[in-house]
Amino acid sequence: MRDYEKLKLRNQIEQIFQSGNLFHKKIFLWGAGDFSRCIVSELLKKGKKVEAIIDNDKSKQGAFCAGVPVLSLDDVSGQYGLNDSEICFIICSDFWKEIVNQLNLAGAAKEKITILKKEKDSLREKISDAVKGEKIYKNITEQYGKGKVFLCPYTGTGDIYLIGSFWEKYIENLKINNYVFIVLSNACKKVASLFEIKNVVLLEKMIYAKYLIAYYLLKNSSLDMVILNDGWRELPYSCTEWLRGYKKLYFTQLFRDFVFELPSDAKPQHPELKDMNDSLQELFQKNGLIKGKTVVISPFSNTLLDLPQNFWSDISKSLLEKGYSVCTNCGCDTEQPIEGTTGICVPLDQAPQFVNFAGYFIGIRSGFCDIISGCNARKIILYYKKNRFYNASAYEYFNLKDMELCEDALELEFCMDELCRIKKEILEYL
Amino acid sequence: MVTDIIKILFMKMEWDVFRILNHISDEEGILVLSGENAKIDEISVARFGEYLKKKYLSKGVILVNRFERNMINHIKKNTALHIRIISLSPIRLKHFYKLHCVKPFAGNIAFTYINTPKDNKLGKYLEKSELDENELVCLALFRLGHV
Repeated sequence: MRDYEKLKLRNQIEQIFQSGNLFHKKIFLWGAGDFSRCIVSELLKKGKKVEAIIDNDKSKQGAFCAGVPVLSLDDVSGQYGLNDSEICFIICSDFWKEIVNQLNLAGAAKEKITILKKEKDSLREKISDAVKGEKIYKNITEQYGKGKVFLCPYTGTGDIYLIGSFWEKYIENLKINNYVFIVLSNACKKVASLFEIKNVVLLEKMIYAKYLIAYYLLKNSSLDMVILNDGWRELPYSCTEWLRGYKKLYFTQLFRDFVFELPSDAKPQHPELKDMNDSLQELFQKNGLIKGKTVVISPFSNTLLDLPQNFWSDISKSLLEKGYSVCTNCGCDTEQPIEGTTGICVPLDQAPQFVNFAGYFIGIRSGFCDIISGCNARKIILYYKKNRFYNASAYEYFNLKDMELCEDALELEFCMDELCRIKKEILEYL
Repeated sequence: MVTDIIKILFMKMEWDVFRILNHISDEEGILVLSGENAKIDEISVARFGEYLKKKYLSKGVILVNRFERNMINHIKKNTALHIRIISLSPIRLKHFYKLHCVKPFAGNIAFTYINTPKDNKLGKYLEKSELDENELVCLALFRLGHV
């Protein structure tokens, strides 16, 4: 989710809150994803709790998103009754029309529904964006000289890592000397810096990517620009994202075959790591961590569903009892360390070395797992069994073995009712 | 850049006039047949009803190149009464698609282009993966969620 989308959503939440429509209301969100995560966090800041998140996707029902249970509409209807005067629904989805229809058919009155993503940019706004995009494009190409412009219009660090792992072959295939590689976040820039990617440009504001895309679309794709993704939703004609996971079209294959158009035997390559032993020694000492006997816990994921906090605190407690030092990888200020562990914001351009130095890693599947996938440390990666990603399970789509990034990690699928077994398996493996 | 903007504004005007003259309402789903791949077009026509149902729409309209006589006959034979057919010139079809590529002008519209513009990768999926035309139509073009 982009910063400007977050800002817009924050303002909208503020407006609804000020209007008093949420007082004494049981709030239900629609759709377990980024937007709901953001709304939950904004409402929590105001002391409002979300009752549940409704999702039609059966694989998400029964799980948690931002600590809130995900339910079906039938469950909500059965448990709360859709006509309860205290109920309100907040929808933030491109598919709001279908959702409103579904709610109405199920008996929810229109006045109970608030839509946050109703209006889309007009053609005038698109043109205005394109004009701004032209300026940004020209500034960049003037600075770096003529050449291809690669745009990564997302903040997923895993995507950047996968791109980096094919970059050398891709550039060799394209036979180009000069190019610019545009990213949206400092985290992405750091991941790109692990690889031999030249001229990495971090956009000053994320909204600039929207302007660049508007310019690209207005120029009818005649610009020498490539959007590095297998199906980017902002391109109105692109609908290939909906094929993800179908008939074994998984992460690596989609990038290799359709983004880079490399032969099927092309393998992703991990970067060569710089020696950082001295600075890591210092960092470990400063935080009271033991070299070779530290478990790095990574409990946060932006794309996939979470595990309950008590699962992580139980694991940490057991590890501390066994003599390990334990730290939590906290990427941003909203990510708090697990109880009893040291919170560390592991710099992504040092993450592989950091985890190697620590010796052990346990994490829910996230982009961080891609970045440390080439490490020698003992790695355990967790996937919620019911979590789907488009047409596949999260495990099928993202497991590091099939992505050809890592052979030696223990990758486990779990259900919410078998966390004790998972905990036991983790402790035995370490 | 100015030329591009003028062209797009002209295309928008062209669409608005076309929509009014042909009484196309927001409550209608629109399918635009590109003629790029006959099989994709045929399957889209066959499954258009499911798309309308998914979008909670009771009516639909199919826009087709007026020179594609065979396709027009095919649609007439294979569509239900609540689906209208409008034939138009190929250049107008292209204009509408170009406009859509900058800014979708209707909420419930599907185009059957698979190779245009250059980074529309659907055609490549057909070539390089095990997916067939029916799967592309159902999962990607119409986003039905099933085949």
